[in-house]
Amino acid sequence: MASERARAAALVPVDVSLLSHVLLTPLSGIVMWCQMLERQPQLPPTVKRGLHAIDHGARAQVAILENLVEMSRLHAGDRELHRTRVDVVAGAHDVVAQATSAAEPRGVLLVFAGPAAPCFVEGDPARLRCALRNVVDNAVAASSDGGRVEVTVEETVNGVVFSVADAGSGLTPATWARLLVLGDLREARAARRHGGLGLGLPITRHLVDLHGGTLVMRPNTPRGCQVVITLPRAP
Amino acid sequence: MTSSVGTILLVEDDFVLRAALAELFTSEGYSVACAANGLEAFALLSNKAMPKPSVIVLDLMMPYMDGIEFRALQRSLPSVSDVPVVVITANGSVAVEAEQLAVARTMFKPVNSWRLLDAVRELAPAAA
Repeated sequence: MASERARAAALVPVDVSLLSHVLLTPLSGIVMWCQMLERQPQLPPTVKRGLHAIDHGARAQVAILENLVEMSRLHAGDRELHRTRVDVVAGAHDVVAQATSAAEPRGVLLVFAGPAAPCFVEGDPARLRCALRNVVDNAVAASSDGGRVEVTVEETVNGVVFSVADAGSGLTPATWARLLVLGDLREARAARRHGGLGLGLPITRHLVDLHGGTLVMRPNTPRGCQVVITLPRAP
Repeated sequence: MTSSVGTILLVEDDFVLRAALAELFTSEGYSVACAANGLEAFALLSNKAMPKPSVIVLDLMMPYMDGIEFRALQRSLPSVSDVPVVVITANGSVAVEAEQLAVARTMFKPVNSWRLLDAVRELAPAAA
């Protein structure tokens, strides 16, 4: 046993970027085939449901994988961002399209409203997508069947504002504060009532911090909550 | 299937994703030439029997010759240096490196097929 531990300790640390590539590429193949097959006319309902399930399962694994990679970076103290100009409107479109596979089967209506023109920030495109997706996925998970999630993007004097509002059971400020902290296993267990690992919000907060932005939660009217990410505009 | 509206050079080492992307482009009427890495893609570009591609869809992390090496080589070849490149990748850090090689678009896996088709249509309007 001791020699096994020694061998394990001597192993070269896994390159998370490489691991991410190796795992994401075959998942992308599954997602792409689902998109291709769903375009076929007159699919039997069972086949449609099956494709939805496969698509949703593959996308859920992509989300988990990206959050685990991000957690690994966080633990390693890696704060490096590969910055470029990122259009938050296009990013929001993408994450809304991705979340549809989880929303549709439960009758959750995902609504997106944003300007026709791009809203640019300076950021790491893949990691910003991860942050936006986490917030949308959480809102869909927190919604009741037949609920509604509103995603908006707007450019304000304070920066580019990405907002997600749901009509779920809502969060108290104290619960919100606890959910933002990585490593509280009790809250992680609570989060799993909605099917998650409890990683999404801490990772999102970390990514928003790295980009010099803010992440806040407000009560939504008449129920649920609104999560707002504000990012500095690109110069 | 409609008649060809242009040729796409598709460079992707994962055969499942490569097959799906080839099917996507073929269903839209494009001819597709497939390569599993940069070396194979370079061999296709050097083949005089192959029509000049309208667009190159390029993965980055591949064996033998990766996407960044291939792009640098393509830019040095006067006959194909002007062919626009759409990068598809799972790795954000490498994607930023690729942008320094002046690619037309960068998309992250899993790629949204509609957005990819829009990009290809926009970059190859003369052939469409």
